[in-house]
Amino acid sequence: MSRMRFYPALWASKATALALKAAGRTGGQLPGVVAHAIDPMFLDDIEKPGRVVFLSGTNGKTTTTNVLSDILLDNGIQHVSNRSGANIVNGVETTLLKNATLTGRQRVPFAVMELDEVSYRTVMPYVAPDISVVTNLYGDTFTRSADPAYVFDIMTKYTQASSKLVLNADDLISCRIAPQASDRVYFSIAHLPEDTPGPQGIVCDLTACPECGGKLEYDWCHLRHLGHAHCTRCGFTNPEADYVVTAIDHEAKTFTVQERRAAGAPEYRYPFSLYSVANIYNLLTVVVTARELGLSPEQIAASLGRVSLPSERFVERTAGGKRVVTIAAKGENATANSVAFDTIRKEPGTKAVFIVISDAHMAEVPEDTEYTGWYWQADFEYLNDPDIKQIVLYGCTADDIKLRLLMAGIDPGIIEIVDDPSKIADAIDIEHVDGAYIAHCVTDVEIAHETADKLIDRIREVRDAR
Amino acid sequence: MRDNTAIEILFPEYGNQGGDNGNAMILRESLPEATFIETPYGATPYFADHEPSLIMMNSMPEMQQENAIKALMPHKARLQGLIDAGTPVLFTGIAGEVLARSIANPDGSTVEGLGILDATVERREPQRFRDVNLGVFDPGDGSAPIELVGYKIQFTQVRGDNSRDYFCQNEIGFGLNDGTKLEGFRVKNLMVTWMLGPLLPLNPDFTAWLLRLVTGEEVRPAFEEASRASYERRLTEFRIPGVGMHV
Repeated sequence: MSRMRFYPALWASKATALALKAAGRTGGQLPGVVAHAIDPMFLDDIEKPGRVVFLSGTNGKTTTTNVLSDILLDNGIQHVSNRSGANIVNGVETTLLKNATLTGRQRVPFAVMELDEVSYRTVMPYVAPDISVVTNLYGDTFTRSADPAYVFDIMTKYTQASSKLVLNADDLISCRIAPQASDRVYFSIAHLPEDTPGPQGIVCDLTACPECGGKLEYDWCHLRHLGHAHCTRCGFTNPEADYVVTAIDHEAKTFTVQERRAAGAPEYRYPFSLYSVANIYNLLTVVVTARELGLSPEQIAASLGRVSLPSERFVERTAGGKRVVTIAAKGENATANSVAFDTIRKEPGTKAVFIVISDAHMAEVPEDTEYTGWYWQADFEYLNDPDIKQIVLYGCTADDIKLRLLMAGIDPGIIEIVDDPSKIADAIDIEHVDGAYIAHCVTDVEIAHETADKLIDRIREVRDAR
Repeated sequence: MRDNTAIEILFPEYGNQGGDNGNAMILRESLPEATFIETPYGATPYFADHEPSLIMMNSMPEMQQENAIKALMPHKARLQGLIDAGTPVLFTGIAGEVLARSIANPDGSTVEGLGILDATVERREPQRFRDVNLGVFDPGDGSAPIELVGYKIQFTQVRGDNSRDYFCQNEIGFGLNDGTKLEGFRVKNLMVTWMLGPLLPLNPDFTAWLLRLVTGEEVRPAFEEASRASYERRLTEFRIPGVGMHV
């Protein structure tokens, strides 16, 4: 450790955190940025908590981290966490420095942190987690992270052999991560009635065997490529799972997890509030990680009944018998957007849809241009549905999205491009549909919610005028 | 004749990176009567025994490039023969790297390529090269030069002399490597470009030219008006000084 750099970095970054707090701002990972600028080896130099859990994966890592954190707190287990989603090296540094005393000692000896997959490279050499959780791997941010195989290679290279891995047996990509780590726990969802015979979507992230490149034959899929398959050439298949969801009771809103490694393979029931396969995967990941951390099924089930899933990704407003729903999806993440479109399709009633998934325009930097290639991997075909009566587009690549919608077979007569954000709500014909659905990039939260609020106001005005 | 048009898409299960699957989508929409042959890994390429109207291979992950080389190596002479005979061939993104003499990995190991192009490829992971691309493609058949727009996102740099057989001359964006503005290769009707994503959907004039080359007829690209709106916008946007991809 370079004390000449470490202590100035620690104190300056803590001062930054205090100043941000005084100003009423969270500051995200700014304190970590300050620390790193002064001491580039800050993460190596700072003391680590005695116990560390990292949660990673393309989709679900923020939700699972936050719900796991809530369950631990609900059971009186103190820990630090990067709940704000600051999940790269500076975010991890921020979490640890906030937990440190002025002499650099960690106050709380336990950390539960979300970690960006590519950031394994910059974090894992300095922090040896007791447990590394990987929810899944999909194609994501091609401009930065290329393909799942590239991310897989990074995660494999930098995973510590001493870590226990909690892995998704239904994901033939991420289940193979880091063979050097022999302590592996797998979770899975058994065959469900609503499964599809093969991967869902226009583009599959796993059409070839990840071991030999041979043809994969699927038995079923729960969500995109997550499911059960085997290679017709080398026989590669899913690993045996230790924790398996064996039943989902939609009426009672519970799912049953069988612990196959335990004597007698006992089954335990856990509650869920909102059903989707993605949510069950998220909750299963939380249950398995909490079990591996020593919580009892009864403790977890009771806590799950008390804590709620983060709701900012699916927010519903109602007025005058109409629904206005905002659904968040990450930009440059075809899977997240496809799932959002599929969710819209499956909601009841007739719909107007507003899409604002291009995020470069929000930065208002003329030199920024949005990479549009991923639109061709997202399932806009889901919006080709008779209940969808109108699609409104806004953003610097609205023309590209329109082209993609036309390619998906959508009637050009229902597509409207709006070039002024103040006119979006007026363009949405809420009067003639049962609900409006706003699919937005996570960076477009403000515009999505402003539009939703305006729609609700308009619905109320019309209702009151009658 | 358009209904005799046969387009072979090599390894479509691999060649969907960054939205490169959009190229086949717009060809299918533009040529509803044409036959599309999708050749998966492990199957004998259609071109081995037939003369397709177009052979297309799109961008794929690095691991799958090596599988593609293995699969195509036994058919290298036939592919070379078709290229020499003027069969249209379009490789986009890093798909064209399989045609190089070799691909060098960051650890010093190399992968032997098909050797159809006199070029070598250097993989530079984790360095990611991203650039917007605006260049001029000369059809070489007397028709007017075409401005092309696109994106380049890759780990690789390519070494080779394409000064007499480049695909397009860039105004914006790097060419085979950081040191040149000459992008890709054009050998007769073999077209190799490192642009990826929606190359054909985003370039209606080039797509119209390609459709004519492939079918021998005037065929307009599907959804040309919407495609042209995107194209015109990129032409303007890519000329903003300092423009780059939002990451």
